[in-house]
Formats: sequence, C-alpha cells, structure tokens
Amino acid sequence: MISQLDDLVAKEKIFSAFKNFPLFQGLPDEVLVVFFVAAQEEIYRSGQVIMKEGDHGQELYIIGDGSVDVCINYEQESKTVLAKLSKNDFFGEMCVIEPSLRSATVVAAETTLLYSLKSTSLNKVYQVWPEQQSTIMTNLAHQLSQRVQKLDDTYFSRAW
Amino acid sequence: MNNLDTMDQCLRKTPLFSWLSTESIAWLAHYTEELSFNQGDTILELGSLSDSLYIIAQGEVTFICGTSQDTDEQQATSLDEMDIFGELSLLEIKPRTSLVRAALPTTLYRLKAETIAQLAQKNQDQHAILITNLSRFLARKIRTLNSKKSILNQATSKE
Repeated sequence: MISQLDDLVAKEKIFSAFKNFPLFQGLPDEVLVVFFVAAQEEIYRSGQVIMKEGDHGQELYIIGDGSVDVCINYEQESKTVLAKLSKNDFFGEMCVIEPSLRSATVVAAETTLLYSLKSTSLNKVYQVWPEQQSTIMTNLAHQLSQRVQKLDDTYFSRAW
Repeated sequence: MNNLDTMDQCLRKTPLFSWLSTESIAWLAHYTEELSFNQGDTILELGSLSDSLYIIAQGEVTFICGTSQDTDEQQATSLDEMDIFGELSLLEIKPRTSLVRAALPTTLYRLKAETIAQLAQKNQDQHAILITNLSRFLARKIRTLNSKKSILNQATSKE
C-alpha cells in the first residue's frame, strides 16, 4: 500500500515537472498526460554519448535532471562544445521539424535523467488535438530564438 | 498584374510561407501593406516596437545598432530583395534593437504580427505550418552559426 502511494507521489512529481517544461507551456493536462505516458525515461552517466552526429534519429529529448554537452567533431582534434544544456532544456528537436541527420553529438556532463519522445508521438497528438500543434511549435520557436540570440546578437537587430 | 497579385506572388516566394494554402496566402496578401521609402529614409526607429514582419520587395535596407550618437553608428547588417526582417515579432513584440534605414529606394511589404495571430484564430493548421517554417528557419540558422563557431575554433586551436 505504502509503495503504491510512493509510486503515485513519484508520478505526480514527474507530471508536474512535465507541466514546467518550456516546450509544453500552454498545453492542457489531457495532452500532457499523453506525453507523460509516451515518454521514455533514460539515465546516462557522465561521459556517456546520448546521440551521435550524423546518425538518424526520431526522438526529441527533454532534460529532467542533470546536464549535457552538445559537441561537433566529437572524438576528433577539432572537437567543439557548442552548448551546455541543463534541466528543462531539450535537444534533438530537428526531427520534429524536418527529416534530418543529427547535427551534433550530445554527451552527458554528469548523471543525467532524460525523457525521450518519439516524433511519432507528437504526430499522434496532432491528429487528436490539431489545435495544439501551433502551441508546441510556438514554444519550440521561442526556445530556438533564444538559442540564436546566444550565438549571434546581431541577428536580433533585424529579427526584432 | 494588380498590386494584390504582386503581393500574393511575393508571399509565395518567401520560405516562411511555404506550404500554406492558396486561400491563406490570398488572405495574408489582403492584409499586407505596401510601404515605399526614398534612399536614406528612416524606416523604423531604434526602440520602437517591433510588431510586424517585413519583406523587402525592392531595394536594400541597413540595420544600425547601438548608440544614439550618429558618430558612433555601427552598421550591423544589410538585406536586399526578398529578404525578411522582424520575423521574431511573430513570437513576441519587443522594442527594436536597431534603427532601420533605406540604403536604396525601397519597397517593403508589411504584415502585422496581429494578422498572423488572427490566422491562428481562423485556421490553426495553417498557423502551425507557418510557425514550423519559422522554427526550421531558426534551426538552420543555429546550424550555420554552429559550424562557423567550429571553424573558428579549429582556426584558433591551430595557431
């Protein structure tokens, strides 16, 4: 009985974490539940590779806890760390925009908990709740615009 | 060809409007304003609210960043025909961080963020397509900037 309660409390906690993900802002609970059920929990140790540059990939990842390094030319002399992402950030989002290969290698920078979501799960949600697609895409565009800002301030002088 | 047809064609050629239906394009074209400027005219002031998307139908515009003193003017970038600017006003309305000036005699097409928001009310599928196009545009921008960063990194590590 107590373990069942613990389980429920844990689920409740994860669900409220889902509510706080910037990617899911403005979504009704019924849609969040679908993502909550569809999401796969994955845990990586520091230094473990989560995705490889050039691979095919159909999942989007949201960081539940921990942090990751986004690198190109990983394991080469010319390795460059492009960004550090942490709790509530997401990566691998290109696959929900257009079919493309992974543009970077992502490595866990510490013990990291991820929620992976297949792009097909998003498509299923759009079939049932087509009106939510523009909400999710707007959230995604917001996050991308913040990333561009970090990389290139001059872009903003014309984009805004 | 009348003006509305020209706008329609111009919107159609803009990647931001790819895959929108003929009806949506026609609807957007109906709400598009045409603005003309002489060479040297100020199009938008620094600090004014950025509340519209602009397509350069003809001419060239320059973005001047930074200070209020003319002597310290910094030319950030310039854009020419068929380029767009103000696209992030579709996400959020913010004060401009640059002064926009016509570098040549210029014709702009202006679409208010408000109009795009109305498209969401009218037809959310179409709005989702447009915002997905914007995300794609931003994602490609990130890729380009990242590969530049990597090349720069290689250049400095070789020194």
